[in-house]
Amino acid sequence: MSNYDFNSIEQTPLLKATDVIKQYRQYDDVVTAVNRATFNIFDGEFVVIIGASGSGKSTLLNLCAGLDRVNSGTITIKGQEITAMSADQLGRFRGNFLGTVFQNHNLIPQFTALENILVPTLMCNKPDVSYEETIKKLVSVLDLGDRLHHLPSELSGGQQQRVAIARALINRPLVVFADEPTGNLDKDNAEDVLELLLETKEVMNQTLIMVTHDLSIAERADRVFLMDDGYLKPWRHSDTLMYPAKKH
Amino acid sequence: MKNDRKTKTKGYNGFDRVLTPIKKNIKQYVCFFLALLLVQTAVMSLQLTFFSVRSDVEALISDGYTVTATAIIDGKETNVTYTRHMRIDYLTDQTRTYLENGVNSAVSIGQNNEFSFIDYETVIDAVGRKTFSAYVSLKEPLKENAAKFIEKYVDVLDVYVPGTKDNLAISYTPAYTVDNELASITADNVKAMLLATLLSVLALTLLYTININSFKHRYGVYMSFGADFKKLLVIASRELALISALILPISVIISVLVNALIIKAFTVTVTAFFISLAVTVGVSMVSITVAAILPIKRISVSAPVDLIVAKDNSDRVSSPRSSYRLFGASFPFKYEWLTTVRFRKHYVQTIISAALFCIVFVSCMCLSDMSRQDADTVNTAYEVAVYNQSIEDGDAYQKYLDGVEKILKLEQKYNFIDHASADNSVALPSLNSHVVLPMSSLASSKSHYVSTNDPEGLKAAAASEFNIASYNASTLKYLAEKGVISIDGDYSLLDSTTLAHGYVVVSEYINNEKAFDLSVGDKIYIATHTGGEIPSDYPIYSTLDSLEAQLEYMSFTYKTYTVCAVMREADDVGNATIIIPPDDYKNLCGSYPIATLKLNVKNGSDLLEVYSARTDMVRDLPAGFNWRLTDSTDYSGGVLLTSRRLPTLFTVFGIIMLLLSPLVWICAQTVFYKKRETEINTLIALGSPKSRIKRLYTFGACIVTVCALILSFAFGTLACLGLYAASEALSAYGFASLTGAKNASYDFAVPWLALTVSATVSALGGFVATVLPYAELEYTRNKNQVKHMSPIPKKNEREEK
Ligand SMILES: Nc1ncnc2c1ncn2[C@@H]1O[C@H](COP(=O)(O)OP(=O)(O)OP(=O)(O)O)[C@@H](O)[C@H]1O
Ligand SMILES: [Mg+2]
Repeated sequence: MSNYDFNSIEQTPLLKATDVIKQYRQYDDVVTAVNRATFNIFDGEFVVIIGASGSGKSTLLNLCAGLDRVNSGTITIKGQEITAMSADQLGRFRGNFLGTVFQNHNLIPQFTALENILVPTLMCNKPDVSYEETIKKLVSVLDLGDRLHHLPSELSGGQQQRVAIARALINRPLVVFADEPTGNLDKDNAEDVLELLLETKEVMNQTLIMVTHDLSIAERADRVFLMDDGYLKPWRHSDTLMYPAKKH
Repeated sequence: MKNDRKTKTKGYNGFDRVLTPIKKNIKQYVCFFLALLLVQTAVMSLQLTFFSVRSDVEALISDGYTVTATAIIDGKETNVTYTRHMRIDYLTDQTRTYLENGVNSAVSIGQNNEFSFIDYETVIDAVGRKTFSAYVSLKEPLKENAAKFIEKYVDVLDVYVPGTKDNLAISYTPAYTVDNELASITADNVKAMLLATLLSVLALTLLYTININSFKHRYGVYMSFGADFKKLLVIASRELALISALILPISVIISVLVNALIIKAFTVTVTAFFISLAVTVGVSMVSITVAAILPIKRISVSAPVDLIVAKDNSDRVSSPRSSYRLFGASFPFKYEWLTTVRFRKHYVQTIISAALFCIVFVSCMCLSDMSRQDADTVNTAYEVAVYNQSIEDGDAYQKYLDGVEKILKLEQKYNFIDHASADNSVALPSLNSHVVLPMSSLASSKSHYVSTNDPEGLKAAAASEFNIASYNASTLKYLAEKGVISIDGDYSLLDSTTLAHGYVVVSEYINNEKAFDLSVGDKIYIATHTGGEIPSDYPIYSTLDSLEAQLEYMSFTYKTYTVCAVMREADDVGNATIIIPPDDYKNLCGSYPIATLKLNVKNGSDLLEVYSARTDMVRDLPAGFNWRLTDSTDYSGGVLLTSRRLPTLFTVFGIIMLLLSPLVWICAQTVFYKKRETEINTLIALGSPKSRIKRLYTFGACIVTVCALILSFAFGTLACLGLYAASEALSAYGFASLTGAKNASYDFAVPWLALTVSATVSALGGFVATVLPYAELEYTRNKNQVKHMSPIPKKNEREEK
């Protein structure tokens, strides 16, 4: 992976973001969560975004996953400009090509773990996919076998997170956006989850974009971006000093 | 791969998928359950009522409703039915002949497609002219054929005898109007269904909008994983469809009961029942889908992230700028006040929604009152008369009088009959007769007499604006008891034993104006024409002209009578009346007096009950005479109206609507406080005493109660004023009023009861809906102290565990 030529200019990027700006307005204050972010991500890459808390990582990830709207700038995935799509088109696009692990899981509290995992299959019917096998695999790797029929409120934080990961992968998306997928897990579990994500990425030829505070994960990425108060820049090891000073 | 069995997706089928969110969020769905219950009940009971009324009306027509009589045919007593649709009054000898010829020629050349039967009746009008009434039986379709008949045979009369058209009066019998009514109640039903759909769409949209926060998170997640507008709409309407299917049986049971309440009998056929059911299901399906469109559209165009975080944002209750003194002296009042201001959108929305249903209720009560007033102005009566038969001998007359006695007694059997009245009066000029009275008996007006000498040679007055009538003492007594006449003197002298004495009862009023001043004991003379004729070129322009001509050209014998009583008629239109003994009546008129008896139906009676008694009444008519029973009700106001179903219908519908109001409250307030659960628990965690939390809720409840009380009262009054004004205006411009009545005018009365009930229900609903969440809070706090302590994401809480 390390010899992946990410400077290749002939290859068309899978995800292309240009001058993306996202601002939040509250009373008289304006918070610029993402400031003129411009970057390319290529097919099959594993990209990590790190940065201090509140620097705008989740916001950027949500924008790329088509879950939030940009104030200006364009984002293109697979040659399709998602920032120009209608809400309905975007919805179907998300269902067909994108999978998201939310930072705070966002499981539906009334549904059991299994029902939560199955939500994407109900929202978007991919005819050629057999879910039974995928579920069995995900459940065994994520070690959720005996918790499938429990409600999210009856699961631990880590278990909820694993359910959220299973939900993001069930539809075999093209691009997986994961916001701190290992944030609530102990070292061993975190390692298992990362292995799962990387393995499915290889098997299904996915692209993985992950937000994390874990520098050991960042080490294994093809590329790492640093989010610094809204500005996105490539990360070098020498930057370690500035980061993670503000981590809580 | 342990517990492999559990990973199977089997068992998570479509039904479960829809049911799960409903089952687990039952509180948010309760209001949808109730709303659909009310919508379905309203639609279904309207439908059942429609079918009941329709079958009633159909029964009326198939009964051969117009005229039913008992006649002797081949020596056997038989019920005969004359089905007639149209009557043309005031035909003269000449126009009658023209009409007859025209009609006959049409019949003879086989063009009688418009009618099947026509016959005539002789009528003598108030000034004694002989006129004819023609009765026509029309063929289907009645309305078109009536128009054709008039165009073909009646309008042309004007060509032969100019001015005929203005003098003729065309009226339609109930069978005609009732037939048209069928079409109009069907149209009304369609309109009512459209209105019901509109109202239920409105109600469900409101509920959705109020409840939308509870859907946001789930739908946001759905959207993150690929749901588009169509998918969300399907999910949302499938949920409501399931609710609607679950609640349907209850709605059906209630509707059948409501229908029984309105119609007072189970008259619905199986077919009608299933059509009603289908319409109910249809209306609820349409309103479910349509109601979901707008709110779901709004959700589907927002960014999923906004939907997912919306829940968390809603916890920020008080303004960051003014909440720093939360625990100051003014807590909780100031705090709650700030909350109210901050959530003003919620409050305004909820109060207006709840008030809306109160307005609909008050409006329904107003309409109910208006239609009751409409119904009270409908004059309902049956007319009973001996048809096409005269009585020439005394024995038959005695039998006839017995018959009349029997008919008057029908009042005791049918308690919807208020009273009967009788009329057998004949105008004196039509008999070429007049009365001579003493000069002293003249009241102020001069225009009613001609000076003459009485048979004893004294100066006297001759007058002909009198009707001759004849009733026996018991009939007079009955009429006096019922207030049809008031009578002074000893009218029992009229009875047969004293016939020879020549007594009469007189009235003194002509067209409500006192023309004569007679007293008991006065002598009057009634002229009998013995010979002579008025020349045809004699100019007659008034009754007095004809009287003068009589006196000049004719010869008379006079019979002397003594006034034994003076009466006053309640309905004092037209000539004064002289009641003479029956034998004298026969001498004057040629046959014994035959009265038209009018059985007046009590105001406010249930007309369908009256209709159904009709056949029995015909059977109760005394045998031996060609009696005819005619309904003289004007049905043009609508069968539903005249059958007095409309007020009940409005009332029931209004009450159903009123019940929606507390529903809106409970639904909105539960969701509101659910949203504030974290905030309140934080307050408790920060040390706010229980009593203060309690006061917080009470204060909220008070705000809501006061606002609801004032608003529903104010809006209710306005709605009511608006309805009356609109109805008056519609009538003034010749349209049907809001209740469907023509030429209606209403006594406006502020519906205090309805307003009080609606304001009370609204205020109580608001209060209870606000206190309920507190009761629940207390309950859950006692059960589980920490369960709701989650001011910050659950993640941290989990880690602490
Ligand atoms: N809905 C919102 N409204 C207003 N401001 C917001 C909103 N969401 C995020 N922000 C602000 O935007 C900035 C970036 O937030 P973001 O969630 O992207 O940070 P982050 O890098 O993911 O932090 P963390 O590592 O803590 O998850 C923050 O200052 C935050 O306060
Ligand atoms: Mg984040």
